[in-house]
Amino acid sequence: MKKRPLFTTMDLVLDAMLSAILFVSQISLSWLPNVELVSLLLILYTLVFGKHVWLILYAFVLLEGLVYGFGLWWFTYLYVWPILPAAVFLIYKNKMPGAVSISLLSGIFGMLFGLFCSGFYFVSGGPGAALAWWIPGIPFDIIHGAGNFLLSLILFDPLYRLLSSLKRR
Amino acid sequence: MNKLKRFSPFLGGCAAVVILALLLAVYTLTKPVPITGSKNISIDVVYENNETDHYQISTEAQFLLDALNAIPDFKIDGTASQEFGLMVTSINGRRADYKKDGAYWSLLCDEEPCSYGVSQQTIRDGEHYTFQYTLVSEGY
Repeated sequence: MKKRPLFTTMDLVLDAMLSAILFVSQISLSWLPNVELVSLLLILYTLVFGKHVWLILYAFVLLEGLVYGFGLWWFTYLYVWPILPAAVFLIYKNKMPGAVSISLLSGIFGMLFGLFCSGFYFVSGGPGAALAWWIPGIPFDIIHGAGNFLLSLILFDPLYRLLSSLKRR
Repeated sequence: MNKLKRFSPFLGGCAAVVILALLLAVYTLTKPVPITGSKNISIDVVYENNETDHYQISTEAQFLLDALNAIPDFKIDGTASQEFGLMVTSINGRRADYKKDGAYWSLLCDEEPCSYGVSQQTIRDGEHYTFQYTLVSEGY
């Protein structure tokens, strides 16, 4: 019996397209400080496309590095963004996603984004460097959390329906 | 058929409120307090080609930007906003614009990255500040 490959050509094309959408959403909102659709799209991709989210996510992170440069911040992206799909896999394993709970998850992730990133500076420069990096950015983290919460509350249901119906085709 | 239950947002809501309160508390309690009185500080500007300008001043200013604006041969420009202060794009006519040059002026306090921008950075007696031309790919 022929074994099904891990990723078919169709899967790879789809993942590349979803990664491009993720990247374009990031670029198009980059003029607004800490307002982004990446968190919501990662949640949706995890719920609809399951394990494919890892390929989509790391292709996105690589694109970010290629466009903006591989600065220290880039290394934080390697472990900070994956926290979100991991949380979705964990929380929604046996639960139905609802717009409010997804918005709360996305909002909490936004508020903790700076703290998660500071973990890299904790390892590379010690607790002083991590705190000096995290604390001044707290107002931006709060904006990030509020933006994530509102965007998810408005867009989760329509985008979830859209992606689910596209997947079924 | 097993029907999946919907996740109750109550716990998530409580967690969000607690996290928000903790963030606000940490930020408020650790906010730097401006220091009054005279202070002696030094400033270095390290340009793209590693050329350096050095300034040694005595100031009554509480924030770095105010002290810099009082130096006659020091010119600092950028885009200012109420919430973020001055985003420096040019020092003494030498540009480091994130969008145009892929570079920025990083601000160091005693050789360590400063915690705040030039408008909000409080100054202390004896401190040394460095404006360093930094490529985005090499920065923080």
